Amino acid sequence: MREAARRTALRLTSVAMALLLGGLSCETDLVEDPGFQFWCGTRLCEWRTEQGEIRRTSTWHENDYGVELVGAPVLLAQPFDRGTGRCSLVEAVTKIDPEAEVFVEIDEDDDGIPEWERQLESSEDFIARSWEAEVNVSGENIITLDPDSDPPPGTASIRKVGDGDAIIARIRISRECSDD
Amino acid sequence: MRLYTRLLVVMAVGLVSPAATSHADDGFAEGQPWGLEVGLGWGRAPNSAYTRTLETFGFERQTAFTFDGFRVSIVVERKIVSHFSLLLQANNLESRRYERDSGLGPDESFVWNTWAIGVHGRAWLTNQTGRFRGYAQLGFGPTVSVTRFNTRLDASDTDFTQFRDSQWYFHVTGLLGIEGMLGKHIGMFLNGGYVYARAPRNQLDERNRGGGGLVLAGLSARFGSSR
Repeated sequence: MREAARRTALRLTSVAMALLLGGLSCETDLVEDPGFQFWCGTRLCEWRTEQGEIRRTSTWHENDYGVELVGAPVLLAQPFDRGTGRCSLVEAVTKIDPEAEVFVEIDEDDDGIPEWERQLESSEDFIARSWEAEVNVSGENIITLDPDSDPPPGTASIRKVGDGDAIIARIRISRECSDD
Repeated sequence: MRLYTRLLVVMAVGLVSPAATSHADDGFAEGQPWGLEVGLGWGRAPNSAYTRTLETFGFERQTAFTFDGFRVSIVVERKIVSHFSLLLQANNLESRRYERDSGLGPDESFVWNTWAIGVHGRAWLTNQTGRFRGYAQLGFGPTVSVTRFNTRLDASDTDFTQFRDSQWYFHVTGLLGIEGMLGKHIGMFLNGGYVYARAPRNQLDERNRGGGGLVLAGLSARFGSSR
């Protein structure tokens, strides 16, 4: 009860601060379960295992889970609603052996060809990285949107191609939205 | 800080000023072997690999409305020999709150509170009147950290799942302080020092630096008789 009241107070304070600062922007999460917390038995509820094997693993806390990509190849994917934003913020928390090659990919128009991809850095400990992904603003990555129809869903993927241990604790893809 | 400064000056003057009488007042620590102290103050536990890991995992420290620098201390003192006493001291060491966005809102949290209870030895010197004293104390004992991790384990969860854990460790404390008697049984004190307490610990075997520096001020009471 006290927790709920405190959270409500903090949210109201945040909204008030945002209004006071004149900022009407917000952040929309494109993928569900960025922290790999939602498990339906041995599989992730929100992410599809398209290829290979995954395993639930603990990270800094026994009950803060990550997903271990077992062997290679492994492909995890999740469709998302693109919305109208132009720039996505991709945040990753990972622990990856140098032998394992892991990529995060965004396929904005779901044609099977990622418009944006990054290889996740290897590290002995968990590390956090973030990137701004601009994929539909100009040039060859341009995507024409029909204003009268919903945009097709995009797909976010995590792809592992090399052997070696790889634990993904968090992949958050968010998009700034605004009133303009 | 001004109050502390004033108290320091008053006590320092008391310690060095010529005695009004040529012999000590037995009404203080030498004459009343039992003491009780209640102190409030401020402390700061340093950041560590433990807290940096929380930040790596997307948590942000919350400082608004948390009073996480607030410290409280309760002490029972018993004089053993002249100028030396044993204490049983209980302190809160640290309270911290971190929050993280679960993807459904900024709604996951990790909170911990750490308390210490220790046996301390206190060596002191009084001024000529016996009404002011300066002391150094060293103590150790167990600490307990209670952690609470609130997380969602299902997208349809309307509430959170809370994982609570208690972890025991030890602490070592060093303090310097001054104390002055306002009356026969009531006094005021000011002390400060450092607490070494590496708790709590995470799954990656990283220990928090849960003690740190602290300053306490409060009231003391003395009673009992040596005779």
